[in-house]
Amino acid sequence: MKIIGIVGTAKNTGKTTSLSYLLSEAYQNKINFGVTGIGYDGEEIDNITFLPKPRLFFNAGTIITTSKNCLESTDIKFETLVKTEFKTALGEIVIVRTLSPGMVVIAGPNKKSALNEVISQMKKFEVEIIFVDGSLNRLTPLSIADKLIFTTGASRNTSIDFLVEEMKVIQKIFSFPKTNNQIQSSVISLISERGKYEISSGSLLDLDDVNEILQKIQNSTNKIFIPNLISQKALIELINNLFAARKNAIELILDSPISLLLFGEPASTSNTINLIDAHPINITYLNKPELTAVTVNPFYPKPINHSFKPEYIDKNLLLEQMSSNLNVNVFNLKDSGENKLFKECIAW
Amino acid sequence: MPKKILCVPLDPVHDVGIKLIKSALDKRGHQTELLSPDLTMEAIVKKAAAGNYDFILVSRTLGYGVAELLARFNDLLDAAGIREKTKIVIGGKPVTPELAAELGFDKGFGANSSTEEVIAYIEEREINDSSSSVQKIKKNLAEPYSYKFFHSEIESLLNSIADKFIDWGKNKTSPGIERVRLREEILHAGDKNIQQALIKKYNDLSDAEIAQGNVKKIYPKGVREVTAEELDSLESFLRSQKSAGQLKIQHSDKHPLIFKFLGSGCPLMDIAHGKVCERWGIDGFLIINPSWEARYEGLLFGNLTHENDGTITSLENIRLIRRSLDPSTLLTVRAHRGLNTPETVLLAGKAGADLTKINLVYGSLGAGTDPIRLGVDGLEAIRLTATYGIPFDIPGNDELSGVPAWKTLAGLLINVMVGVKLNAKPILKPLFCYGPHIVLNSFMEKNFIDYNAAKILALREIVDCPIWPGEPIAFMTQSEERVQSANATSYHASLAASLGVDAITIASTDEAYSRGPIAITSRIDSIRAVTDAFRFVGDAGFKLTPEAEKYKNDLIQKIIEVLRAVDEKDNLPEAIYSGLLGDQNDGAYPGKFGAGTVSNKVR
Repeated sequence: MKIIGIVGTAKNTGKTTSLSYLLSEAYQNKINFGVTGIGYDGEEIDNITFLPKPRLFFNAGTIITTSKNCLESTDIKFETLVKTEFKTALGEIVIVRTLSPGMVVIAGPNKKSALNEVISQMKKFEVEIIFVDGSLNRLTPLSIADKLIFTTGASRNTSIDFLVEEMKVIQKIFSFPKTNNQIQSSVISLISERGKYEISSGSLLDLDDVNEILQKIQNSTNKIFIPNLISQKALIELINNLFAARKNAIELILDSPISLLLFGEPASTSNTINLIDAHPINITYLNKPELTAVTVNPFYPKPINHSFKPEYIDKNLLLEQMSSNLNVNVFNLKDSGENKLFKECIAW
Repeated sequence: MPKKILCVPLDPVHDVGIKLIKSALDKRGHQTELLSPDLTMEAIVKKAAAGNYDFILVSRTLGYGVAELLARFNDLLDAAGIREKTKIVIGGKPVTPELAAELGFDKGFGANSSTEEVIAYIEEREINDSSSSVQKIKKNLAEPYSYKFFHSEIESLLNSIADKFIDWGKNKTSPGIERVRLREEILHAGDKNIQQALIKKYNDLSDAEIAQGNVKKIYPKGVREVTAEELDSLESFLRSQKSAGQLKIQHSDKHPLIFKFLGSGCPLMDIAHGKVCERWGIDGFLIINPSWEARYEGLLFGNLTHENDGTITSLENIRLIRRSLDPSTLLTVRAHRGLNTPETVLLAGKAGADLTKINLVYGSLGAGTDPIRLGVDGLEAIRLTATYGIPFDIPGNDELSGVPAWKTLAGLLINVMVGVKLNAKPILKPLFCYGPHIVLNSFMEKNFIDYNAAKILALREIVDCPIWPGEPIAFMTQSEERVQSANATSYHASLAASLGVDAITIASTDEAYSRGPIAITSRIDSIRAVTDAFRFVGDAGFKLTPEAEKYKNDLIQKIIEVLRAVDEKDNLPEAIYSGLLGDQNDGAYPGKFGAGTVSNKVR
């Protein structure tokens, strides 16, 4: 069983379109699958731009996780399999099996731990794949996926150079390996052959956290595990201070590539990655989803007189530039990329 | 148990909302902390991680790109492990449950959310999703009133006029009254053949244009049946409406109920507009029928639509509108125009309408029905309002022709006394208007307040009876410009509120100049304007100048003079014919429709 997540770099980059192509291919290939989301997507009209958005179509017999409120607005028949304990802004999250075909709006749990729990419940229903529909540019819950598809496009930025540079940084972040260590701790741990020091925080956020690490770190420390969030500024501080007086290599174990993706803007993230590369630091992850494919979307909502209208950048140039700069598969789904995308996803 | 709450204004400018929420939470004993709006996301996360909060309340206005910023904020909180024990809540004007879910928040509060809703959520109490709205209770406008007259001479004159009029009508009948009897029999006939025979009789007593419609389905120009498909689509429209509750227009329980007209011609369009207006807090509607309906003997049967102004008041149309509106919404059906006055009251009663509209004088002078015919039919119609327990309102719209206010008010009072004597519940409807007679005599030269107020004060000094200025208020003060029109309505509504009247009828901002169907946005314009006006005036009021008192005394004096003259006549229709309640100089002409159709009852 594999978990395939769809991550957008921004709203309107094609998450729902990508998922909808994958679902249709999965149906054609007679694969048993389930679908959940990490928020809310699949609405007819975009909540902010009021432009039409694709909705998701399901055949009978599909396992779906969504909210009770979303099921109230659908005409399909379904049986409720699990009532979860999770509540969202759209009501209680439930796992259902569709009994008739039709459109459904997906609204899944909104945090990582809840997604993890929902997926383990969905696994009980003999699914071969669980697709996780992203929401906006949200990332954190998707760290538990096995494979991630990134959707990007003009809605994120109308500059192709910007989009390519951003995806290059993302690809670089995903290139670091999975750790061989088994660590269970909710706080930052400094590990050496002789033992483990823990500091009070689970996140590396500011100078206080950096100073606490610097005070407790030993020459023999060869691994730092940061289970939660890292601020870019604090990480730079740590690297600069730590290696001012130290030559030994260190393994920096993070939860997942998403810890670095949360830095935000690609240009500054790229500088930080270069800083890491310039020092004897080995980045590894506890959870390591694979970056499977990138889909590109030339569409963007152009603001005009207090509303938005559909607009497009050069689709050929976007696809060509992205493909030639990345070593993962890049597709424009609207130009018959769907079949290849599906094959790429299920190739394990 | 008090909750620990972190209030985060992610917006450097719009942080008033979150400050108000914080203050309300503090008053409830919760432990709140308000961050400054200039912190970085990481600094906020650090604070949130250290504080062990139960809730983080975020306020932020939205624009393109802000969604991603807020989603990232939730990602940071999730990655930092904060979401395991802390609920994250967003508040902001455009926030909906769908948007809150999309951005990854546990709950969202938007423009229509109340502070009470936020507190209930924090305190983990049951939340009524529509707690910003109100559950309306249908109000009986006539209930609190005794109909006691305070002015002995006026009471005595009215007694005399009403007694003579009722006596005059005692042995008279008309095709309108014959039809109302038939209609009652048709509605109660169990046997289909008997019913068909009665319908045939009914059509024989109707004009050819109506009979042809009822028998051959060849309708007057612009009329057609509503199709089954259209009715199905109405049903699915009504089913698809979320029970959203209603907003409240009144700021105080003492503020008047607000009515609007329905009468697009299409009952389905009326219902759609009605449902929207209900949501915005409208308390009731008046169904306005096509002007030609008044001129024909007989009413059309069935669900019918009319492509020009005026919705056909068939039993089926009234029923359809009644059952589609909220049970708490009041519905009035105009009856006093024309040759079907008693039958319209019967249909209103049978269809579950709450009120009807009859003015024996205005119906004869401004709406074209022969005074004798309307006199006879009106008496029957008023009796029927008592039978069905529905109050009738008496619009003083003859003032718009140029009739002086005292003549109009004298006419209203005659209707009241007739109603009281027939055990009915009349409602006075003086105009709040800039009528032609007022313009010519400069009664409103200095302001629009004194003269309108004087009418209310005069009536209050005469009788204890519900008062509902209409129809609509601000008549002839509105222009084609929507803001001006909404303002004019709201000023007059404020005056009505400060005078403590029972109800008012308001126009849409395009009502006088729509040149076609009224736009729903224009309906909302005036509702919103009045809601704001009521909030503004609250329990305060207008200071009248000494002129108001003079106008009031003058009106009472002139009403007495009119009533004395009317009382000198043998009966009310004769007084109307002789112009005592409005003559040609006032722009009022006794109507001719139905002349010569009244006969003595066959014993």
